[in-house]
Formats: sequence, structure tokens, C-alpha cells
Amino acid sequence: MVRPRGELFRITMFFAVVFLAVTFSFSFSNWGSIFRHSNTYELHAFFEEIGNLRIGSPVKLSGVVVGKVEKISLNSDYQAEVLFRIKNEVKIPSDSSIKVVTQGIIGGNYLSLTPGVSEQALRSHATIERSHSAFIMENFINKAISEFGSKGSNK
Amino acid sequence: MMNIIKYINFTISTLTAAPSSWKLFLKTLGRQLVLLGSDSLWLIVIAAVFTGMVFSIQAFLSLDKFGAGISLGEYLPITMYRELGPIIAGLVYTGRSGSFVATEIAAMKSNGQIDCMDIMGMNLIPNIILPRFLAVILTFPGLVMIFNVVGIIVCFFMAKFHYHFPTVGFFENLKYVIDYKLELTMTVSKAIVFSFAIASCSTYHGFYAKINAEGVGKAATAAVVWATFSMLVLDFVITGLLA
Repeated sequence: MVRPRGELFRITMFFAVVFLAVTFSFSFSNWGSIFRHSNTYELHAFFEEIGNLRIGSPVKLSGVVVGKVEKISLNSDYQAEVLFRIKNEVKIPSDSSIKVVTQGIIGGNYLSLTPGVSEQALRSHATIERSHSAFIMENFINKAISEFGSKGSNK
Repeated sequence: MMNIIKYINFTISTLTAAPSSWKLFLKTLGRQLVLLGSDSLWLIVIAAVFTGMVFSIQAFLSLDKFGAGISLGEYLPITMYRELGPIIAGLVYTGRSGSFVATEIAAMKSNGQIDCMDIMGMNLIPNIILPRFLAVILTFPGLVMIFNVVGIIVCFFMAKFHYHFPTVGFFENLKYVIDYKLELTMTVSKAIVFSFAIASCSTYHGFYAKINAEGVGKAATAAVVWATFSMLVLDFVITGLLA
């Protein structure tokens, strides 16, 4: 028979462990980032092609993760509008450019920032004007084949 | 068909029952929380440790063929949260605690305790069934969360000490891996739905057990079989709805 005091202690300990597990899961998921918007700022970019870029894909600068993609939508000019958040401590020069890069041969896509030389930093809700779309292997192969084919037929 | 109506009726009357004596109700609930929750903790942790280790090795074998072995830390947490956590914790919990609930109620019935309470005018469902039902619902989702977290920590140690991967930023990287819409919604909704399935199956089969030694054994078997079956079907339904 379990003694009542021991019972209460064991129930408390059990729920304390459950609380720790729930806190761990929520703080290490991007759920936590919803409540942590104060540490980040928002930027936009428009692309002709984003490939496999997803919500949650990282934004990197010199290979270091500095933020992540939060929203992807289509604008009236049929361009992909990507909204991403950058850590407050990272200041991006206003003439920086951004491109969609593929991680390895089978990896997912991510955004890569190339910093410019301007001394003025981008503010929250600003748009990065210089953007380079994703490199799609199929498009490249199709273009190469058609060009090669047309050269061959000219001979 | 009649059994399904009886089962639905039993579950609804359990969920709508109000305890007559709060003192007795809380005492039974406290005892059940210990027996079903903290006493199952070690089994859930052991299941999570070994599942995490085996799955790390298996996942690495497949990923390494494509040169993506380093993605182990991204692959395992997703599998843990979406599928392995709820279903393995559910099967282990059904075998340990679901069968316990069914056997305890069936044994009370075959000993004549339930008849005595009935003659004394005690309301059976709020005093016997409801605390056990609630104890399952309160403990199981928590155990699923513990299973997931232990699984991820084991994966971290496997990556660090067995495969010698650079694990700097392993936990920081989870932010890009665990998407709240898919992983957390899936694990929480599965845990809650499974807890209702386990609670209703085990209390129902215990309460309607035959009054003999065989009846007790059959009640435990039926509780485990039906809870497992309903969990597997519900798993497919929830995955289909949320994916």
C-alpha cells in the first residue's frame, strides 16, 4: 500500500518531469519562435523561382544560420514573395543580395545572403531588391540540350 | 452492433458522471495516478532509450547510402514526434496500464466488491470507473512527451559518441526541424485521442467482465486487443487528416 504522503510526492515528481518534457518540446520547436518575435526582424524578397524552399528553411550568411523563412506566398506579378526573419544582432547592408541555394545534391533549399558594402542597414519590413532564383537542374539540362541541338542543326 | 451501442453509452455516462464523494474520488484518482503514471515512467523511458538507439542505427544505415548520414539529427526527431512516440508509448502503456485497469475492475467484480458497493447504494461509474478513466487521460499524453524527448536525447548521444558527428547546435537546429504545425500538433492530438481509446477500452472490458477467473483474464486480453486495434486505426485516420 502506498502511503498518502509518498503518493503526493510521486504525483508531483511525475508531473514535474512531464512539464520539463513539454517545455523542452515547445522551446526547441519553431512554436517558441512565435513568442520570440522581439528578438528578430522581418525582411521580404521576391523570386521568379524558389524551387524546394519551405517554411522553416534556414537563412544563411557566409554559411552561418542567421534566420529562417516564415511565409511564402504568390504576388500579383506571379512572383514568389518570401518573408523571413533575421536575428536582431545581425545587421544586413541595404545593397545586399539574396539567392536560393540547394544544400548538396539531394538536400533542401535555403536562402543565402550576400552582404553589400552600404553602411546603411536594412530596417524591419524592408525588401531586398537583388534576388537570384533557385537553380533548377532540369531547366539547365533542357536549355543545354536545346542549345546543343540547335547548334548541331546549324552545321 | 449492440456492443458498440453499449460501449458508446458506457463511455458517455462515464464522461458525464459527477462524483458523489469528492474525498473518495480524489483518493482513488491520486492512487491511480501513481499506479498508472509514475510507475509506468521507467518502462516508457527504457522503451524510448532502446527505440532511439535502434532507430538511430537503422536510420543511419539508410541515410548513409545517399551520403546523408549527417542528417540523422534532423530525421529522427521528426519520426519520433510524428509516429514512434505516440504509437510505441501507446502500445507499451496499453500492455502495462490498460491491462492493469481492466484486470483491477474485473477482479473487483469477481470478488463481489462491486456488487457490495451497488447494494450499499454507491454510484459505481463516478466512484470506480471515472477516476481510472481520468488517470489514463491525465498520464498518457505526458508519457508520450517524455518518450519523444528521451528519444531525441538518445539520438544526440548516438550521433556524438557512436558516429562522432559534430553536434554543435544540435538542439538549436531542432527549431528548423520540428515544425509546430506538423510535429507538435500530430504528437499532441495522437496522444490525447489514444488516451481516450485506452481509457474507454480498458474500463469497458473490465466493467463488463464475466464473474469468474476466466472472465478476469479475458477482460485484460480484450482491453489490450481492442485498445491496440483502435489505436492503430486512429493513427492512420489522424495521420491522414493532418498530413
